[in-house]
Amino acid sequence: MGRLYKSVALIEAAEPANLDELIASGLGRFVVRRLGPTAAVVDHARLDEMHKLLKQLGQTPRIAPE
Amino acid sequence: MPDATVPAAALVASRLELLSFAALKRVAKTLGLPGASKREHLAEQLAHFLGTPAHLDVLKKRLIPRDWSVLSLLPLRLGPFRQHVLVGALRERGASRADALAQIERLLALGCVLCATQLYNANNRFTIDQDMLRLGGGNFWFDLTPGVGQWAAERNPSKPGLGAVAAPASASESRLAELQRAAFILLAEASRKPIRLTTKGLPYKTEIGRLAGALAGEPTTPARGAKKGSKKRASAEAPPVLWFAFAALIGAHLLRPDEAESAAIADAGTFLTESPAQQVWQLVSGWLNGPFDDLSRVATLTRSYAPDEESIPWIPADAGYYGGPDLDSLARARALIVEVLRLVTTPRPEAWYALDDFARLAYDQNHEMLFRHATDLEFLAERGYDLGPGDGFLPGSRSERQPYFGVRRATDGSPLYLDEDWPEVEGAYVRQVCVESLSWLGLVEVGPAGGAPDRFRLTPLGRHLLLGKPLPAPSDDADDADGRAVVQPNYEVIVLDALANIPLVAQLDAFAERRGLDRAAIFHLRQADLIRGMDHGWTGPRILEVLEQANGGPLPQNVAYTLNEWIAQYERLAIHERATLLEADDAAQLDGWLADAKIAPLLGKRLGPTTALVPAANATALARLLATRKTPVDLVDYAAPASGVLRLQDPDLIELDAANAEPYLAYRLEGFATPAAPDGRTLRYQISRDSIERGAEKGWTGARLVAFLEAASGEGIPIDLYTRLIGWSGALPAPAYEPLVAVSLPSEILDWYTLRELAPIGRLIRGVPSARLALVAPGDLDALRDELAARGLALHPATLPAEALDKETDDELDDYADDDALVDVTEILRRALIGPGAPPGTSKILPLFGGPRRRPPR
Repeated sequence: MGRLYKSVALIEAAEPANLDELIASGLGRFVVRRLGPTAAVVDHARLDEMHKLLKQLGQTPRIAPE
Repeated sequence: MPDATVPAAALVASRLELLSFAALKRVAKTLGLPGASKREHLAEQLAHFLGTPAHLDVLKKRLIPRDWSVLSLLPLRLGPFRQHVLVGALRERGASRADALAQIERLLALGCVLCATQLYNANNRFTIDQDMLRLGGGNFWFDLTPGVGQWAAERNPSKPGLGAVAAPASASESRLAELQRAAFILLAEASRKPIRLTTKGLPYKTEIGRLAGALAGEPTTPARGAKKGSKKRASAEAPPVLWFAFAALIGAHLLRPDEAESAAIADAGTFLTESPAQQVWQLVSGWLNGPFDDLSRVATLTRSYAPDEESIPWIPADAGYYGGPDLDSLARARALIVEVLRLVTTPRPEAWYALDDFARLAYDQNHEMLFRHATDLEFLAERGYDLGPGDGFLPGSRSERQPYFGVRRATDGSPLYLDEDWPEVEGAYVRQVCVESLSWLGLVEVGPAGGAPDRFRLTPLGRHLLLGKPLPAPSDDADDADGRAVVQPNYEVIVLDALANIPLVAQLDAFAERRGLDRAAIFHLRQADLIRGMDHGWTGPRILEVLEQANGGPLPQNVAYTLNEWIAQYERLAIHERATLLEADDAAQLDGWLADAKIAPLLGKRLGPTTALVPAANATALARLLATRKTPVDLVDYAAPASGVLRLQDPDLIELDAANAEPYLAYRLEGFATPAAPDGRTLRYQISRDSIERGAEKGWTGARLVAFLEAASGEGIPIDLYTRLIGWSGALPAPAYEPLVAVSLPSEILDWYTLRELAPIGRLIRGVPSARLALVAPGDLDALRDELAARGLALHPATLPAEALDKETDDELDDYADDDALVDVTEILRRALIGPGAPPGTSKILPLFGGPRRRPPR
């Protein structure tokens, strides 16, 4: 049976290499599961922590409107 | 001008409702209309006649010049007017007192004037006769029939007029630039962060400081290199133009108060991209209806009972209570001034006019433009009553001077009196409006410059907006947006003529740091502001396009390179913080959904072999649609934590039915536990020292672990599992031990509490867990033996029975439990260390980390 997940936090990269690099640089601990080469579900309860890490890594992600 | 909010026909119908049947019949008969047997039919007939060309034809034959003269001036009052106003206007035109009443009666019967007074209740309606007019004592309210005022104005040759005066040697230009800056700053700042308001609708002092600082040209963010915690900028005073702009924006609904947020939110729409003329027209409308207090700007006046914010030119909600005009009075006064301005400048739009003459003319149109006057009681009624001014007005005493209520001279606080001191009140008000408010709005310029201006004329913008004259053609090609700014290699963007390029300034403000706004606007391109702009919908290409067009050519190479880098970095990564995700059982199922004509439009982007994004608005419809296809989906909401899906087993096991397994739950469990071999359809996770320590590194504290497991299991945590979680997570300090000897005194008549009072014995005792049990250090045992022996108590070694150690403790705990007293947790733990099992009464213990805990079976 399929599932519809709500209130999910996702990270989506333009290229697989971008996401791979971030996961290797520490983002991995927030990744719940990888959905595909460029997308992963992340821990919605630790978004602040994750944003802090991304900022330390020099990233400026777009916050997608829902 | 304020727009009519009630359609004309509806207004007429509502006014006719106030008239008696006899009055309606009289109007119909006077106008030569056929009668009707029922009131409602007659009212409907009149409602469809009054204000029509047929009505005008009748009035042309029946009204005399004096009628048209009076009727043409009443619209200047904007809205209903009192009877004594009409009487006063007629008397000024030569009518006697008796004639004036008769004329009013006739105007009512001809349907030019409508009754606007509700008499007591619906059973009492207004009749058209002089007895009724006398009954009101001048306080009845009336309205002009829609259209009559305009007909009268067209027919009345004697419109208000002024003679022109010589031009001044020098003139002050209009101050529109100040208002434009202030309005832009307010909207820009409110867009970034809503302006927080007090319960009185005024910005907080900190907000005033922010806005005033921005208006004064202070950078919106700390300059590059400023240290954190460096000296705060001094709070700037808010200049009057800021209040004027704020009030006008509120009045024009461009700043919208949000009661829930207690803030003003920018709702400017396309305002900043409109032409200056369109912007000013909206601001005029906002000023007319807004809460700016022009009267408080008259320096020669002071309010007698001013509220605390006297220095703020703002009309509070309870204005009028303290004396002085309220919001409606000021709105009508402003509208009167603007309308008279339009009338007097029509013959000679470019002429200069004397301010004093204009003030007198405006005042003559309505002596009650700001303050109500007492009626002419000797004429209208034999009794008098307090009509507003509260200084002992006596009926019939026409010689009594009536003071202005709530306004005094600023120099010495002396009172001012209606009619005789009008130049200092209404006159000063009209002059103030011309010199300041209308100048800010760009409608007039005044002269001479540098001193007390005494004359004015309309600006080209004023002639355009008030008289419909065309605006002078712009000197440059308005369609050519090139070269209005300079983008410099140091990332600064300078807009050369800021106020003539407000739309461009507004665009730059959306994605650049505003460093200054005066004649020129200075912006700085920074990554953080670029991101801010892109977060609000700006795309990278659009930002580059605006900059290149404004620059009139390509950007400096380093600037272009950096901007492209920042844009690429922003677009490289996206975070969805509250997304909806559809997961299929396999890739083929998702392929099918994406190809389905009805399902596909509800889906967003595919993220992986089996997952696709779903716009949040489509989630419910999608779930329903899939259910109809016999492929229902489970709904999992991460905002609602899983509950009752785990089973906790002592000493270290967590179980989960495979049907309840989902990735986020697995992720959390694997954060502090290790997957163990499943048992059929039951997944298992095991905690260990290593796994808990690993979890602690990821932020799984003891408290967090307990909270999560209790919520996810929906029950208490078994004691051993609980203890291991707490112990391995490092939540408790290491327990300490000390070898002690337990000495029992099984007696009902003597206990250790008593013996401990004896100093030689008391100093040997380490602790007294209960009345019958004492704890002694091994080295003190001999000394205790001697002391006891000296008192006839022979100490001997024995194996103390369990009840000597536990039973009394249990009893005491039960006593505590019965008394509902707080139990000393450390005491219980200490007792537990010297006996097996947890003592009863555990349920009464205040848990360390919250939630119930299960006791092991006995």
